[in-house]
Amino acid sequence: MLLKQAETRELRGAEAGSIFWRRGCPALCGAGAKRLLRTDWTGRMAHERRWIDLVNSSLAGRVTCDRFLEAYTDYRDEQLGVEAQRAMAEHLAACGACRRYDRVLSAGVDLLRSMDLEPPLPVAPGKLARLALDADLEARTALPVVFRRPMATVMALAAAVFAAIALFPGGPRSTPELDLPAVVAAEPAALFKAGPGIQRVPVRLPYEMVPTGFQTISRSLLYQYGRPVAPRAAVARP
Amino acid sequence: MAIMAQARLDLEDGGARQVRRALGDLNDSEIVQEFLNGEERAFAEVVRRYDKRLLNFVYRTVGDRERAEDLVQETFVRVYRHLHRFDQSKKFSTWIYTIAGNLAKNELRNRSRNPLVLFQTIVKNWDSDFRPLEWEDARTKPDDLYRKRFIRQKVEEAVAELPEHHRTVFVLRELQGKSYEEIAEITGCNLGTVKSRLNRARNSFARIIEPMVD
Ligand SMILES: [Zn+2]
Repeated sequence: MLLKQAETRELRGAEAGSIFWRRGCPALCGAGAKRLLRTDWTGRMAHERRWIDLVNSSLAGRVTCDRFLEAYTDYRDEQLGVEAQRAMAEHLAACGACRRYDRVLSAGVDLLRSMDLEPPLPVAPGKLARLALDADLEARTALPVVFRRPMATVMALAAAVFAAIALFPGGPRSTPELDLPAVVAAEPAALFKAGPGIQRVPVRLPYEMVPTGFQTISRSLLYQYGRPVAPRAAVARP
Repeated sequence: MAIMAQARLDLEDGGARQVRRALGDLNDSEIVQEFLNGEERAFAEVVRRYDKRLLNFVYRTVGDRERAEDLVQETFVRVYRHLHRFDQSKKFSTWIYTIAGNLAKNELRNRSRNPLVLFQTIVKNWDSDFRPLEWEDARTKPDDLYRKRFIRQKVEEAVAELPEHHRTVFVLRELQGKSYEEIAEITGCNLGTVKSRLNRARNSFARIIEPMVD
């Protein structure tokens, strides 16, 4: 765990979807937050359910194109509640742009499915058994990697030692116990202003750290691809 | 297992077909158990069940038919070697897809380290693209056929254009019909990641093919 105990205090109170930034060290923040999401599996599941509930309740009202796209994957895979699923279907029936998006995707997928390859004649199990025996034999007689690639092994070990020293100057820290909602790690609006001697480098954090439903990707893509489909001006803002 | 016992008795009368049929009636975990009990023919049934599915999964992931065939064969070899270590409380299909997926991932990693392979692949595809067109039906207008072929090619390219981890999730969900939970296990991601990758993959795919679809 790369976050210090004191830093996790900030995370503990964070709302799902809130922005957290570990000052001056985006890489550590990224790895730390990602780790939190991974270790906190039950929290994550709870978050997923909360998201579905949120979508269900928000779709009970009028479905806009934005909301439709945000919930589209859940809708397509029938993950929404009955009410929300129906509200989505109603929007689809009434909105040409979203209907086209749905149709384009379905048509493309159908076409792909129709292009499935036929396998060649299956390999005889006897041949598979022989290949398996060969592979077993090879695995047993192969020299360990340290003999096959001595230089690479030494260099990998050295790199690991350097990395450990760089990451944990004071030795390894123990992992704090955490019970957290999902957290987004993102770059803050502006830490420093660009100027002489200060160059602003955009930091790209792994996108999977952004909880589903808080992404704006669907929206931006519809606008992008949708010039003939959903002109920006034509989409009603909620 | 009564079915198998009967089939074996029949086999003594020369009924290999009965055994095959009896194996065909078993579910995956029963097939695995038969193989582990020493019924070698059960493996032929595993191959029969999975070779098409895995070929298409791996092909859509690596984009090269010949390599996909090799990798599927390698998948079966690994399954054969390690089936005794398979945790039978798990789903067999998830396990076999995980093996195939890892092989495909390694293939892509090696390819990116060795641009020559990529070049060879391009040349091979280039050859087949420039074969003269053969009209399947003389009455169909060449325009239509050309257009159909063009669209198919574009749709295939659209999948190939997706980033690898988006493509894998997209193929597993849309073409292989896997559940989010299975995809999460196969790819070693959590559910949220699976869903966000799928959402992005669907968006990108739709965006790329949009101009081609009427
Ligand atoms: Zn709409």
